[in-house]
Parts: sequence; C-alpha cells; structure tokens
Amino acid sequence: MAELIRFENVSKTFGEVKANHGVSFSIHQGSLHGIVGENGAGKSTIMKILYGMYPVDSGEIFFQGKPVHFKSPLDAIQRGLGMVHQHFMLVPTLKVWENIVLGSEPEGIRLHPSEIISELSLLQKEFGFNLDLEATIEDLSVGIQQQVEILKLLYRKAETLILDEPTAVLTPQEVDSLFAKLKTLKQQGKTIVLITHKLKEILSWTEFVTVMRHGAVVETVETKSLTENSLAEKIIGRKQKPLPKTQTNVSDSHPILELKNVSYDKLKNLSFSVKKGEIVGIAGIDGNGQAELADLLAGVGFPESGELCYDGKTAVAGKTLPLAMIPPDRHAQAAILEFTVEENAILGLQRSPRFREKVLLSKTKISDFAKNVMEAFDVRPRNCKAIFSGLSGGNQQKLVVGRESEKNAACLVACHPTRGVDIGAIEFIHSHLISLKNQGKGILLISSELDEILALSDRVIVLYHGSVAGEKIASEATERELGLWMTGATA
Amino acid sequence: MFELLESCLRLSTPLLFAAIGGFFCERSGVATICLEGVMLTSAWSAAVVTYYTQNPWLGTLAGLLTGGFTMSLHALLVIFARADQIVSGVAVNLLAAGVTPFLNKIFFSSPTNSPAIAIEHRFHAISIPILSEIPLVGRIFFSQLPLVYLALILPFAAHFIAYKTKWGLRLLAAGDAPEALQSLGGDVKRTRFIFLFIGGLLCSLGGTFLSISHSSQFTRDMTAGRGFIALAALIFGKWRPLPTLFACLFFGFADSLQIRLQSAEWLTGNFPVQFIQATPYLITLLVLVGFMGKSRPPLSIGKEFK
Repeated sequence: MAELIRFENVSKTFGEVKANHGVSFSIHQGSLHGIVGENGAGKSTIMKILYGMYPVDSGEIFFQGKPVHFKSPLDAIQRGLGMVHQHFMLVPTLKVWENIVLGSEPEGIRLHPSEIISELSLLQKEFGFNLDLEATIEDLSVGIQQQVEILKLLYRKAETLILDEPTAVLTPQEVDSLFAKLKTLKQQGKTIVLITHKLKEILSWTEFVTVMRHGAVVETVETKSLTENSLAEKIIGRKQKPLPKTQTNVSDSHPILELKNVSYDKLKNLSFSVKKGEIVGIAGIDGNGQAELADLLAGVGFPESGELCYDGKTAVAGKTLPLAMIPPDRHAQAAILEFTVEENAILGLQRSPRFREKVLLSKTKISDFAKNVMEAFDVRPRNCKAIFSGLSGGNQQKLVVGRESEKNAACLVACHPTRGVDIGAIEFIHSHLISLKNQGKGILLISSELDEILALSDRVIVLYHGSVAGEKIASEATERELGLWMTGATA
Repeated sequence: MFELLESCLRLSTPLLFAAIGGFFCERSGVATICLEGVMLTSAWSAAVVTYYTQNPWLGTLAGLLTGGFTMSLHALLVIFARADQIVSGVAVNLLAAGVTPFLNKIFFSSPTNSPAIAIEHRFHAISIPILSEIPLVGRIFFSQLPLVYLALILPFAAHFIAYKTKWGLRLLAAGDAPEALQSLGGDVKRTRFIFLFIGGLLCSLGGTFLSISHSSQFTRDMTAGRGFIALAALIFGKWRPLPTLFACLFFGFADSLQIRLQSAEWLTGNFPVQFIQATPYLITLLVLVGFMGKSRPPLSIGKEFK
C-alpha cells in the first residue's frame, strides 16, 4: 500500500499545553487507520492540524509525497480530505439536501432542489446510502445525522475520511451499521482514519493503529499484532489495575430502592429492587426507558401508576428522593458548564449549612470542600477556580462522581457513568463504585456498555420497551443471552 | 374606510422596511434591536440632504448611506469587536437618539426639528395608469408613494432570497449553525456583515420614508418606537418574511385606526388622547405575550462567534 499522509515531527502548543510534540507517523492509501489514546492525548489535535483547522508550530506534513500546509478546512476538502467532527456540523433547521450542498452549491444563484436531489440520489446509490433527502435534520436520529455528515463529505469528493469519536453518541446497532458502511467505503478505495478511545473498535475494525499518549506517538503498529490488554497498556503507559474485590454478602440485606409496577412515560409496569451493598445493572439499548427511569429517580417525573419506595417508604410527588445521582447527560444535567469547578462541586449541596458563613455562602469553605473532592477523586488540573467546561470529559465526570459521593446517600443511581470518559477515569470510577458497594450502599447502574454492566453488577436487568425483558445473576449471564433480551426476546 | 386602509398601507411601510431589514440581520445570527436607531439617523440625514439639495433622491441616497453606516457600527461592534449584541444595539439606539438632535441643533439651531421641505421637493404618490382607476382597490393599492410599492414587494423578494437561493442557504446556516457553515469553508463573519449591511440599508429606507415621504421634515425621535414595533412584527411573524408582512400590516392598521379614533368625538370626550395613541404599543405587547412561545428565534442569535 502506498503512503498517503506522513507526519514528520509535528508539534503544536496551546498556551502552556503541549498538545502535540514530535508526532511522526504515516497513513497508507486505502487503509482503515485507527488513532487511539486517552482524552487529551492529542489525537484530535493532530487530525485538526492536518485538516487545516490549526497551523503547525513546527514539523512537516506530507500528502501524497509532497509537503502541504492547509490554511483552512476548505484547502483540505479540495485535496480530497473530509472530517466528521465529534459534534456534528449540521444545520438542524435545514433539510438533508440543503446541508449536503451548503458551501458547495451547484453553479448559479438560484437553487434547483429537484436537480440537486436527483444528483444526490445517484451519489446515495453509488455508496449504498438510503437517506430521505427532504427530511429536516433535527427530526433525524444521531445515527442518521452521522450518515448525512459522511454523505456530505462524499459529495465533496472526499477520498480520505477522518472520523472523530464517531461512536460516542451511537447505539450498538448504529455502531454496527456505521462500521459496515465504512468497510464498504474502504472497499471502494477510500482511506479511513478513525479517532477513538474504544479499544474494541480499534481491534475489530482497523488495520493499523497509532497509539498516542500525552501529545506524542507511542507507536504505530499493525492491529493484528495487538490484544486488548497490550493495547490498553500502551494507551495508559502501565498495566491496568484489577478491580477491587467485592465483599458484602447481599442476600440478607433489605431493599433501599424498590419499584412496584411503576408506569411512567415509556416505562410500563416496571418492578425491581436494589438492596444495600448490591450493584444492579440496567442493560438495554438506549431509548428503551433508561432516560425515563433516570428522570423518575431524579424526581423530574413521578409514577403515573405503581409505587416507588425508598428505604421502605413510598415516594411522595414533588419530594425528591434523598439519593445520589450521576445523571445520564453530563453537560445538560450533571453540571453547569460555564460555572467554575468549585461551584459545580457544591451543586445540590448549596443549601447545606457547611458552606455557610452566617447567612452568605463562604467562598473559602466552598474552595476547601472542592479542593478535597478534587484531591480524593483525582480531578485535574487541581484548580478549583477553573471553568468546568475546560476540563476533559474524564475529569468532569470524576468531579460529578465525587460530588455525588459526598452526599453520602444510601443509594447511588449511576447513569452511563463512564460515557465519553478515558480509560484512566473509567478505571477510577469503576473501582470507586465497587468501594461504595463494599461500604454497603445500594447502586443502580444504568449503562449501554454491556462490558461495564457485567464487570460491576451483582444482578443484571435488561430493559426493553420500558419493561423488564429478563433478569440474571451477573456471574451467570452471557453477553449473547443479554443481547437477545435487548432486542426483544423474552426470558 | 378607504382612507383607513390607504393609511394602513402607508403606516405599514416603515415597519416593513425595518422588519424585513431586521429579518436579514437576525437570521444571520445577530440580535438587532437597533433598527430604531438606524431608522432615526437615516430619517435625519434624508431630511437634511433633501432640504439643501431640493432633491429627494439625493436625500434617499444620504439616508441609505447613513443608515448603512449606523448598522455597520453595530456589525463591527458585535462581529469583530465581539461586543454583546443587545448592549451594542442599545448603544446604537442611544447614540442615534442623542446625535440626531445634536447635529440638528448645529445645522438649524434647534434640536427638535429640521426646516420643512417644500412640497414640490418631496416624494409624491404615483398613480399607476389603468390599475389606479379600479374602484376602491385602485385608490388603496395603486395610487401610493413609491416606497409603499417597494415595501409591499420586499417580503416576497426576501422570501425568495432566503429560501430559494444559495445566499439564503448561507444566511440561514450562519444564523442557525455558524460552526457548520465555517466547517464547510463559508465565512460566517463576512456573511453576517454583508447581511447586516443589507438589513441596514432596507431599514434606512423606512427611516427616509418617515422624513421625506410620509412627512416633510425631521422631528426629534420621529421614529417613535417603530423600530421596536418592527422587531415585534418580525417575532410575531416567526422570523419569516411573509408572515412578517401580515404582522406589519396588522400593526400599521392598528396605528391608522388609532389616528382615526383621535378625531372621533365620542371617544376623545371620554378618554385622554394619549390612551388612544398608546393602543398600537399595547397591541404589540399583547401580541408578543400571546405569541412569543410559539415563535422560534434563529438558533445562534445573541451568541458570539469566535
């Protein structure tokens, strides 16, 4: 395979942060090349440099053997590069075809929708897409929106597709169909660069992988020479820590959280319980009632019928349960992005007298508290005055986990606790959940990552269309069986 | 009744220019509450230039330049100096309200009004042959001031540009998802500046209409909140040109009704005239309270684009 892109000693600094230093590797024509590393390892940065979004500080990029300096994405697009950003670059109010042609409209001032649509239909046929071109973007699922992004690049004659964390927002089926699509595109001669932090995707789909850590390349190797463990070690630069042992004997403790025939929105006659010292995993494909269950427990909603009990008492409408919660959407529900880290560290605890000096909130007490949480939960950088949105996903989540643990509630509801979080933080959060369980807390773990559920839970419940499709002791469950329940087969 | 409808069209005209001007500004993603200020400065310069040159066309040109300049000030502040869009809008409005009487005092030693323009130097109604002779409709629609015709065509032109051309596609993208436009090689800042400038020009026509078509001089604060009513019409019209046309006609009708009611003795005997004068504003308020929830602003309006 011929070399398509070569980075030579590329360095980039933002302020005092060395985002990339001395990055050198090659991408081969027609390959599926993975770039893997933890959040902040510099994998997105190096691709954004290639794509003309940032200028290089030093070093050289070769494209088809010749040095190139793309000044803007437009330059890169004209040379046949295309990037699907982690946050989609679509206009939600416009139609699919309008989004595809935006910026590269056909000749003439006036747009002729029927001509454009028939041209795009040919393009769809060529690459095996089947999108409704007249649909408005905001009415489409994320998976479909992502396909629009890819088609947008193909319309611009992209030969090299760069995908930045494409699966972060997708359901398992959408992930499968995405990779099937990418495989077809590769067979049609396209080069595909996949930026991800998910080991499984790298191992099962890529041919070559470049591992990055702290802004530098660890190495570029053929994927088949790797195992999950050896890849993980390269990414974090050390051996993975095993999960702490679980201790508590669950069977004789009484339930802290209990749902009896609860119906609410998508949830239908849902019954299950969580005992003290137990982790109950809720598995299922996103959209089967997980969000509604989280809303219900957070007090956003109240059962339409049935009974919700906490610590033996029936919940009352309008009164929030005294449980701790890691909400499913970190940005929208767990924190206020524009606030500082210390302000976010006391969200939900702000009425507690421990932060008060007479009647006002005490800045020093808040800072001291935040510093302790940051220390205990390894939130970096250790600057409690930093704006929350500036933190990496893993550090944001560790702060949220820390804050919720400080509530010292008897029950923790953890929704997708490691979504969009790097391996180091996943390790940390997982072992913290186990240690909470060992302290006798009841934990409800809602997650779409089956691996996570199986590794942590004592019992697994599969949610399908708002009801329990099946329940199993985790140690006896197999991924195959759970997968069947997830798609509607009953136990 | 005919007078009522005829004056409704005349009073809707400045609102239409300002509202459609505002349509281009706000759809590009910039909150533009300075329509009022833009109208005021252009009304002043149009009156002054027409008075000195005795040529309303030169006056119109002066109004366009001044209004375009005033809007550019807002555009520069918010797009390039990254000022808050509302604060900048307020600043431009206050500036216009202060600068126009100040300059007027320098020129004519009175802060309140400019000298009257002779009737032969003003714009006059143009009767379209044949059409204007149609009974009833002819007088209302086809015997109007030139800018009235333009104002009535404008929303249709704006609709065509926004929804049928590639410029429109970029306008809507700049207002709803500027990052998307940028990622495809579009220039968000340039797009916004151009559309703000065009919006400023349209809005200026509304200002010149007030001082050299509808009346014959500049008077202090003569826009009397029309820039804000135009903004209300734009919101009421859900930021779409054709519904905005009807919103403007509605507000124009309320205004002409109010003027007519002022001469109705049975009313003025019982109510202070100020109450009647306040009705269009009251209606604006009621309409906004009633319809605000259903109207969705351009998604990135008010947000700074880096």
